Amino acid sequence: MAARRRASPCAERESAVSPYRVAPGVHWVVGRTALTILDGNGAAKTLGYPEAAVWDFVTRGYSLCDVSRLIAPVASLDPPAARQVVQAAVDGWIASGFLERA
Amino acid sequence: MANISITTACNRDCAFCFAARTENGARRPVRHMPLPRVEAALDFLGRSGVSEARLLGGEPTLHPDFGRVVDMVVARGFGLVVFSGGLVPEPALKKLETVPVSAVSLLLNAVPSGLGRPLEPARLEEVCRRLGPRVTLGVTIDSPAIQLPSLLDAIDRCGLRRTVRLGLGHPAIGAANSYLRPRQYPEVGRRVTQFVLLARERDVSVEFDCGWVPCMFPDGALATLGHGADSLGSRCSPVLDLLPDGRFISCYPLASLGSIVLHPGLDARNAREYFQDRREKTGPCFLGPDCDGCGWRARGECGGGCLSAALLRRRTGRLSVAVARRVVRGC
Amino acid sequence: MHRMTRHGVFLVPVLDRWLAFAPLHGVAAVVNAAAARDLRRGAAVLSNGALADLGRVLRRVPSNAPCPPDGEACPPLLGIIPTRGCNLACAYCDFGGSSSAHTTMAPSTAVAAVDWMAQRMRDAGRRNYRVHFFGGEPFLAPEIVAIVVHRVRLLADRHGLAPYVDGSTSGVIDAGVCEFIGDYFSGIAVSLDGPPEIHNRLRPRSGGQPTFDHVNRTVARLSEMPVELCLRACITEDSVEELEHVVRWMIDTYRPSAVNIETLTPGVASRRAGLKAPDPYRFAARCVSAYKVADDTGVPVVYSAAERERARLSFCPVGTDAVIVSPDGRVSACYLRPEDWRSRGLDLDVGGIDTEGTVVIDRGALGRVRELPLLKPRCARCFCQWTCAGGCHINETYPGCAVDYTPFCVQTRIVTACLLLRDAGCGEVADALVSDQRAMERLACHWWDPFDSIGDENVPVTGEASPVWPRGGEPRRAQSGSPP
Repeated sequence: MAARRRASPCAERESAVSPYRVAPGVHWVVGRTALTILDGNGAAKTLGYPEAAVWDFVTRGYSLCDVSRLIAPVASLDPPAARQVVQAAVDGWIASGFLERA
Repeated sequence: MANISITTACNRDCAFCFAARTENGARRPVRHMPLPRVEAALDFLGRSGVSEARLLGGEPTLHPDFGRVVDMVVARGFGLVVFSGGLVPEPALKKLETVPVSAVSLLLNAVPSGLGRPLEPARLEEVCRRLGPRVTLGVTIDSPAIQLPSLLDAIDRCGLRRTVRLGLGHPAIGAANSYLRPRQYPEVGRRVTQFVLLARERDVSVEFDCGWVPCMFPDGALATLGHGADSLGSRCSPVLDLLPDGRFISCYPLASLGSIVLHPGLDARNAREYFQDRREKTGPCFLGPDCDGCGWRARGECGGGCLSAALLRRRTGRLSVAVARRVVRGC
Repeated sequence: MHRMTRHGVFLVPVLDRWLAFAPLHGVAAVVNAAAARDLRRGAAVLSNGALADLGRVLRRVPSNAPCPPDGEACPPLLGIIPTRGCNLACAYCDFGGSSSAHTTMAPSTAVAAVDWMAQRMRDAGRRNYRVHFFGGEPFLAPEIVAIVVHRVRLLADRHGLAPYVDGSTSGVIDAGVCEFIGDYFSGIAVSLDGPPEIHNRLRPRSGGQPTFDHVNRTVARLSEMPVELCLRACITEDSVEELEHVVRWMIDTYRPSAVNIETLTPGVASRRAGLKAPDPYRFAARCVSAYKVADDTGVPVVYSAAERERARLSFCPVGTDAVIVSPDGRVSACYLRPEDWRSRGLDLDVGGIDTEGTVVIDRGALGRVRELPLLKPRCARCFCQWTCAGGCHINETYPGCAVDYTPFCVQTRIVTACLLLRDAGCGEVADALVSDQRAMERLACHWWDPFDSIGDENVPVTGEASPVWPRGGEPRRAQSGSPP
C-alpha cells in the first residue's frame, strides 16, 4: 500500500488571508534598508531585518504560515525559528497597537 | 508670515494649482472674503507682529472690493504683497499703480512650465510695463520642461524687480494637481543651476520658495547658488494660509491636516504651534528612500523637503487581496 | 579568432565636413575638409593655429580606456530570472514566454545567488549592490522577487552595502505588485510600445486580449512613486514615423524618468506576425527628432546603442562579469536562452550552484566570456566601437557574423554621429544630415573610420564611401575607395 502523503501544514492557506489588519491611523514608510511605522500620533518605530520583511508580508495579506515560509530564506532561519520570529514580531505589533486582529 | 486668500475666483486654470480644489478633489466654489474678515485678518497680522499683508487667491485681483482691500492694507501701514497669475483686471491694475513702489510687490506667476509662452502675453506684458519694479516674476515648476531664460528678457524689457522667485509644484493631498515628482528633482536642479549662473550675469538674483532640497543640485552647485542656497532644505514649516471662509490651514498642499478658525485670541505663534503639532503627528517622513543616511539630513541641514510630497510615500493598511488569495504551493 | 584592433581616434564624413571623434579623450569636433587633412598631416601643423587645441587633446594618451576585467569575478550586477514564463504573447517575442514552462526559481537558488553577490562585493571592497530582475515576466514569481529584495536589503544593512534593485516588466501586474515595486525598487523598465492602437497590436495577452489599459494603470501608478520609471518602446516599420509623437505622448502622459527606444530585432515570431524592423535611415532621422523631445521636456530619450557618456567594451552585461542566474540554477553571463547562444556557437555559462548551494564560477568559462567583446571584426573600422561596442553579442556581432554593416549598424552610426554633433554644438548639422539621404548613406557606409595616429599620411582622407548601401537594397562594394 502506498503511503499516504501527509497533508502540508499549510494546506488550509489556499484560501487563507491574514488574520490581522493594520490599525486605523497607522502608516508606514519604506526606507533604503529599513521600514518605519508611524502610529499617527507622531511616534515612529523603525524596523530592521527580518522584522521589516515580516511587516511587508503581513500587511500584504499573507497568512502567518506563509509569512514564516517566506521569512525562512530571507533570514536564513529554519522553519521553527522563522515561525518564532514571525509570531514574536506580530505579538509585539499588536501590543504596540500597530496591528489588530481582523 | 501668513497669507490671506481673499478669493477663490481665478481667471487661469494652471495644472499645478493646489488651491483650485478641496482635499476631496471637488472644485472650490467661488467665494470672496467679506471686508470685515479682511479687517480681522489684518488685526491678526498686527498682533502677530507681521509687517506684510500677503494676498492670495485664486486670483486676488478678482475680488470685487480689491481696491478697498488695498486701501485697508496701506492705511494700516502693512507692506502689500499680491500673488497673481498676471491677468489683472483694469480697475485692480489702476489701483496698484497708485501704491508706491516701495510699499507693494506683485509676485507674478509667469511662464507655465514647458509652454514657453504665457497665456495672453499681451495683457501680461501690459501689466508688467505699467507696474514695472513693483513686479517680481515667479515660476512654479511642475515638470523638468522649464524655460527660464525668457524671464530675464522680460525683466529687462519691462523694468521689473531684478529677482526671480522659483517655486516647486507640490502635490495637494487629495487633489489631482500636476506636481514635480521628487525623482525629477535632479534634472530640475541641473537646469536651475544653469539659470542661476545666467541670471547672475544679467544682474538678477534668484530666490527659492519652499520645498527645495540640497540633493536636487549637482555636486558643487550649492556654492554657485550663493545666498539663495541658504534656505534650501529648511523651508517646510506652517505657512498659515487664511481661506475666505475664515479658516487657517497650514498651507494649501497640507489642507487635509486640519484647520483652525480665525478668532481674536489667535496669533501667528499659536496658530503655527497648532499646525506644527499636527505635522509632527504625521511622524518622520521624507522625500525618498535615499533620505536615509543623507548627510544633510543627519546634520540637520535638510528637513526632508515638502511634507506633502513626503507623505505620498506613506502606506496604509489596504490589503492586496489578489496577493492574499493567490494559491501558494510548497512548504 | 583574433582580437580586433581597437582605435582611439576617428574621422567620419558628415555632409561637407568631418566629425573627429576621440571617445577615450571625451572629444568630438566638427572640422572642414582642409582641417581634416591637416589633422592627418601631423604634429608640425597641429602645433599652430586653430587646430592646436584639438591636436593637443588628441595627442594625450588616454588614461581611462576600458579593459576586460581580470582576476576574481567582480560583477557590476547580479541578474535574477525568477521565471521565463510570461502572461503575454508579444508579436515579436522569440522567448516563447507564453509557451515556455513557468518554472519558478527555488528560494534556495535565489538566496544562494544573492548571498554570493553580497560576499563578492565585500571581498572587492565595493558598496554598490545591484540586482536586476529579468524574465519572461519576473513578477509572475512575486514571492521569489520579494525574497530576493528582502534578502538583499538584509545583507545590505548588515554589511553596509548600498542596495539598488531594478528590473523589467510588461506592466501587466497587479496593484499590490505595483506598490511593492514602487516602494522597494530603485528602478523599473516597463515595456510600452505606444498608444493603444500600437501597443495592443504588438503586445497582447496569451489569449490575445489587449493589454494597454492594464499597462496604462500600472505606469500611472508607478509614476506617482519614487521608483525611477523607464518606458521602453519597440519600434517597427509601422510605428517609426510616429516615433517623436509617441515619445512626447509618453512623457506628457506618464512623466517617466527616461524613455528607451529600440528597434525590433527580426526573428521567427516577428516574421510570422508580418512585422518588420524600420528602415534604418528613417529610424535614425526619427530617433534624432525624438532626442530633441528630451531637450524640451527634460526627460532623457535613450537609444542604447548610441550611449556615449563613457567608453565601454560591451553593449550589455556580457563580458563585464555580470552574473545572471536562471530559474534552474544555471549561472550565465547572458539572460537570453541557452539555445539562442548555442545557435551562434557560444557557451555563455560561467558557473553553477554546487551541491552545498553555493555559486561557483568556472574561471575558464569566465575568461572566455571576458574575451567575447574583443572579438568583433565588424567593429574594427567603426567609430562606434567604444560606444555601441558591437551591440548584442548574440543577435548582432556574434562569431562568424558578416563584416558588412547591418541595418543596426547603419542606424547606430547615424544616430551616434548626430548626437555627437549636438554635443559639439552643431545641432543644425545633425538636422541637415538626417534630411540628406545620400549624406546619411555616405556616413553609414564609410569604409574606414579610424586614423591610427595624428599625422598618419598613409591613410588618405577621401570623400568616397564603400561599400554602398542603397535604401532597401543589398550591400555592394564600390569600385574605388577601397580601404588601406
